[in-house]
Amino acid sequence: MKVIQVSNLWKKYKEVEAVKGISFDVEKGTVFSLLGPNGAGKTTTVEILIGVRKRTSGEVKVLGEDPERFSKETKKKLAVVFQETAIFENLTPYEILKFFKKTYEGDSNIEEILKYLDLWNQRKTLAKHLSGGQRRKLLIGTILVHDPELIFLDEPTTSLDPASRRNIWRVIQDLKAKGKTIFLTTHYMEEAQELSDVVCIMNEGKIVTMGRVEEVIEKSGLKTIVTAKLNDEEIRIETTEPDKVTAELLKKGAEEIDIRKPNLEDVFLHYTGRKLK
Amino acid sequence: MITFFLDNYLRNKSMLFWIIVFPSLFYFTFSTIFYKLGEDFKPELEADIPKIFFNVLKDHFDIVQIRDENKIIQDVKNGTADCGIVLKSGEFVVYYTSRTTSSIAKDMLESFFSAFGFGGKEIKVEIIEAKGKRLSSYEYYFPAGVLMVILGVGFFGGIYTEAWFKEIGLDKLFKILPQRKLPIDLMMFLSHFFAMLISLFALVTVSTIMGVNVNYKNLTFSALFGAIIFIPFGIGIGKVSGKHSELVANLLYFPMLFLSGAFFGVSFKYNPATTIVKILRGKMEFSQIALWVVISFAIYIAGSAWYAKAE
Repeated sequence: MKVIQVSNLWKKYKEVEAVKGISFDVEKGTVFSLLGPNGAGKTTTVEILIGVRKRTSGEVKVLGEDPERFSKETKKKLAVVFQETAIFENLTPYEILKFFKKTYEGDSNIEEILKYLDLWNQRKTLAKHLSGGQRRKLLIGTILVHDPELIFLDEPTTSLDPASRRNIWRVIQDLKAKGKTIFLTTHYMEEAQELSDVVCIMNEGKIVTMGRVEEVIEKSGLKTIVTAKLNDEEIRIETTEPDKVTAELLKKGAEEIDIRKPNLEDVFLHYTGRKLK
Repeated sequence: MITFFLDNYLRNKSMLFWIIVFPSLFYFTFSTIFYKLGEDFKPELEADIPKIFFNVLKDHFDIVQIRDENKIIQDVKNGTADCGIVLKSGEFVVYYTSRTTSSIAKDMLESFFSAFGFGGKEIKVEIIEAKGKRLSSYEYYFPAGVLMVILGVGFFGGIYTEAWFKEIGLDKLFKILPQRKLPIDLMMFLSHFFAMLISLFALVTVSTIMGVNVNYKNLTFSALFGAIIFIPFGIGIGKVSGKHSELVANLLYFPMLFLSGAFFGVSFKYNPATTIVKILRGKMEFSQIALWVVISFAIYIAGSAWYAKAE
């Protein structure tokens, strides 16, 4: 079942075309990652999907409705964590979750959520005094107070330390295990590879490739790189048959053989000419 | 939801400073610096009194001519005028209160009229109300304080909060929330209005301590009218001013405050006294009020339309 359907979506800001006719679908219960360098059009796409920005043209259906005319019931099935730290600075985590619980008419236990997120000890601390990681966790907490079907996470781990990032991944994986559909935008390759069922790479407003991680790598046509030392000379071979090449090299007495298969980062570099973080 | 807004708003220490401490401090300081204001005698003269009396009196007093006797009595009561002179059934009636300046003005007028002769007319002196104090600088600047609260908390606050919400992305968050009994802008209006009331409460407390006899009817009307005008005005401008909001707010706030007329003497020839100042001084002009409500909402709607289009 498709929870998001996008067909020939365009968004223009005066002279700038931020999104140029993209089309994709997101299946229920999957983690769909939208990757791209800064200015690729990721955030604009997310904002159109959640109904905070109007599209210039194209067809968009999210949970069966046009985002520009979401009903209250559909809004209750959605949850969004924005890239900016959109939060009430002078409220405590407990009060903020209470606010969201009331707004979404959720029936979850705030205490349990705060404990699950390791924020129980900070429940009375004003949000402005929380660390970057704690604030992100609190933002993630706002989507746990109700039972959304579709969750949008716009760069949820940007500028977090590795430990905090892993904490957020754990939450995302738990949500995925519960059958939630997650639409993720990220800068981090490792994150996309770890969490995604489907990745979609955008560059300059267009989708340059899309599919399961292995499919995307295969479609890119990138070859495995085998490096070795043969007769005191460094050699580098690009091949689609690394096992065969390795065997040949071993036969010839090559040493220090290294095989590096292409990964998502190589694919990204291949399509965008830019390195991800 | 308004409670969450207000909690978030009022826990901000700098906001509290601007809402409570600053208006009271500014009002107190301004009133103290210009403490001598209000010592000039300001009689009001009925329009039917022969012009010759007016011409003679104006050389000695800061005098105005008014047609309505009731208005004269009201002005003397609330201290806008020190005393009033009315020609009634062939005799002059001098209205005054027990305020020091009023009593002195009455005595001076009596002796002046006696010396002048009056063409045989009787002088009747009538005390209308004993209020104790003369118009102090605190009373004089009270409208300025009220206006500063309305402009500062309502207008400036409206611009600043709207722009700040945009900056941190709260505007987007509000758009996706499903449970909204009231539109977000209305909640913003109400939270600013409540903050304005808190600020006015602080100002009224300081004023009362300093001996100001607050006219609550006029104050309530001004607060309501000021909120309806300036909060939507501020929100509308906040929507279009973006990251320049603080600059825009300052550029508009200070000239508006100055040109409001609150800092000008009532008898000053070029007093630009605006609607709210007139209300606070007991002079309501409903056509002006209606006009300003229309202008303010037009700016709010234009700002909202611009914002929606920009999105």
